[in-house]
Amino acid sequence: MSHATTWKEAAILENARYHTFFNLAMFLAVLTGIEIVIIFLPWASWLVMSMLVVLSVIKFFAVILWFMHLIYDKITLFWLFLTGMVLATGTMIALVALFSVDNVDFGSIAAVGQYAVTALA
Amino acid sequence: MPSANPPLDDQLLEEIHADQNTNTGIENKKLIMWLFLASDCMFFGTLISTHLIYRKLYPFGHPEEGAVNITGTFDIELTSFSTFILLMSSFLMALAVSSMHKGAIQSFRNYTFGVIIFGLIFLAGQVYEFQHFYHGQGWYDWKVSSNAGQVIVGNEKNKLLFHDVANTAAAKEGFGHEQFGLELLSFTPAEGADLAHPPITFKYEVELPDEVGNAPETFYGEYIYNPTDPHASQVVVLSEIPPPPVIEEAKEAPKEEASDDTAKADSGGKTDASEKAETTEEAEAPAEASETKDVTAAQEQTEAAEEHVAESTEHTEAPNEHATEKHTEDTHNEAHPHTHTPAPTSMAEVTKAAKETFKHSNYGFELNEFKQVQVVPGLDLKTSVFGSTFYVMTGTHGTHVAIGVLWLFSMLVYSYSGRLTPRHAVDVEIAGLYWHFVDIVWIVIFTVVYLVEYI
Repeated sequence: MSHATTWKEAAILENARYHTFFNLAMFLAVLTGIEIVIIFLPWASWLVMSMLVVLSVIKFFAVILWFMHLIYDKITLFWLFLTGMVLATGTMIALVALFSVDNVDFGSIAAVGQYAVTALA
Repeated sequence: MPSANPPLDDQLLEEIHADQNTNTGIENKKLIMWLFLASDCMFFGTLISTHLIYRKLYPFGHPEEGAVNITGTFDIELTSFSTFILLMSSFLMALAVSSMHKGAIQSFRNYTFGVIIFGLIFLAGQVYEFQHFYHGQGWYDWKVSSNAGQVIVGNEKNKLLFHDVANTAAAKEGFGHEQFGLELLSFTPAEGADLAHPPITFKYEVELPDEVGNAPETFYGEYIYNPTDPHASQVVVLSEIPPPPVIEEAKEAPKEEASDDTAKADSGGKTDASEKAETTEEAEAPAEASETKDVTAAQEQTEAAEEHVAESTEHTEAPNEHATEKHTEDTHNEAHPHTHTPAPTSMAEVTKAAKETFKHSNYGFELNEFKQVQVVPGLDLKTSVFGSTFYVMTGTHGTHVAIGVLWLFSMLVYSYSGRLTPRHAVDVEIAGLYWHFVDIVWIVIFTVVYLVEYI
């Protein structure tokens, strides 16, 4: 709306958003289609997983920036929401990491510890 | 209709956007909605991480029989469709907000109506999905035989929605209720059928279910209906039904189907037929099969059918509930031989009554075997930690969608009653923010909870 000097001009600019929203919706649909297809492809799981994460993040930000108008609104709102997002993502990573300790190879940790003790002695 | 929108009005547009001059330069309603959404992020973050942790610690499955891959339960096609629907609803919501900012209230109504419909489709999909998950799935081998000895074998992926299909007894009952998947195509009085001279002969054609292993697509025969004592009616299968393939071949089909799912689902479902097998009757299968090879002439089949029907009153083992009822009524008729059903007066009535009796007799076929070859257990809140976290998480999201639908519906109603006008554009915008948030949460759930299980 920065280019509009009156609200009437702003409303006319709003019309142009229809095409933006339409293109974005199609783009998101295509990304979702790609997500569904790649899970059935015989690719390495790390590759598929990484692609899924990247595609989801793109979809997520596309929706919040354009559909939710964050790109048109005050930057304060973006930082406000990002604070919640960071806290939520941090909580998820911390929880999943905490409960994944059963995957840790305690044997190798013990061996490293033993090596350290021996070396120090 | 966009043409019904008022022309752009400077004064109105000023009023729509007059609320912006706060300390932050952001409307208070919008600010508080963003704060709420930021806190809701943390809410969903904990729900999703709880699910991710518990799905690993307590894999889905049966306590005694080990883990089962959840992809055997999930229906990715339906979930993908729901995802697409929610995405498109977000698009419509963005257009609805945009319309209100321009004062185009009629466009707002149209787009909002679309969002509500899409939201309801999503919710309906979720209800349908949950019901399928809850009841599980079962694959069964079955064998039915006619009174003349024709044998049909097949397999059934039991999809009866409102039955516990993972439970053999329930699935078997449902299979019986559905006449073993047999469909009556035609049922007409035979030439020369005369009401005055019972029994009356009808000609019929029955379609077989797709899963059968041996028989043709349809078979035909005669139903000799006794109007005064319908249960003494006789079914004669005139079609020649080839004998079933050797037992190994008959069992090959369900295993292939199972292995397809199993390949996808890793260890999806248990395929131990011997443990789970529930044979209803030890039928005279081999003997009947060999007999059937020799039975080629319709006359011979008719004779066999007549012999069988003559003995039918002594038959004690019923294949299903209908048959049980039939037997009970037979006994009743024997005890009170004079209480016959009053004879119908027109051929149309007789045909209708005969058709009903014919259907209830499962077209003359009896279930000999019903064996479970694979089962995907039902997913519920109580018996599985996976189910608990899954339903709480997706259910919370579904509740958000339901609240959003109600919110938008109230706005639509208020827009017609005059309580919501373009001056309330910011109210529409915050409802839109809420709806888009529901969409982004689903973007995460769809990837992290559904798609990841397939890798």
